[in-house]
Amino acid sequence: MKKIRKNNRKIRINKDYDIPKVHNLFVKEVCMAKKGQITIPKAIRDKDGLKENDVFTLTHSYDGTIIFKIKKQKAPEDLMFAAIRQAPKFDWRKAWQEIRKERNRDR
Amino acid sequence: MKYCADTWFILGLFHEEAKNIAILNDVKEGKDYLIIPMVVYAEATKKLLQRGVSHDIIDLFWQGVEQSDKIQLVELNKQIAQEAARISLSYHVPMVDSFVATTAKITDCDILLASDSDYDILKKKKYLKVQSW
Repeated sequence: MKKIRKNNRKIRINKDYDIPKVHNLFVKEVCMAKKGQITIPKAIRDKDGLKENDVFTLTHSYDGTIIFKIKKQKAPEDLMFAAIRQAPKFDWRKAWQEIRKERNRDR
Repeated sequence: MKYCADTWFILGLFHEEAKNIAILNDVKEGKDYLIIPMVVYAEATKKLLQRGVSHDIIDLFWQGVEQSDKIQLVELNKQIAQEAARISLSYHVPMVDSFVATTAKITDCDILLASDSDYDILKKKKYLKVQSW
């Protein structure tokens, strides 16, 4: 961990990320492009596994602080659980017996 | 553990059977792996529709299956078809059961999740292990 001075404040440089670290925050100046796009530094993208089409919640506070929080992606299996919860319940053992009868017809 | 699911397992999931849900949870956490033969996909879809489950709900379920990297839908191919024909003829097992059993065997599954006495002969011959509850 290397230390540098900026505006009379000690800033530690985390070599792993190559981004100045103030307390527990990673701080880096970024520039807004023409259409309001801002690039998240590669070191952060790599660290958090951020990729194209990831969705963020943007919070803008009165003092000009903007926070981007990544929305946790649902596991594909959660779609299955959601479907199971929404489905009407039925006598599944009876349904299975019907399938067995159908299968045995093809014997 | 690598499981192969028969239609029995999928229908049990829709009834929120504790053991079926526990296996799906283990699959989600990466502890287990699940194989679903395409014939099970067809049979389960048909039965769910017959029981009044909407297309949207069924699509949502299969969407999860297709997106998961811990669950694999296995299509019927020539190798499975040939082996299924042999099994069906040799052991007098219904064709759909043969497709499911052969898919489990060819994809190196440890256990076939099924409750069907027609698999008994295959268990006896140590062709595959079958588990039900």
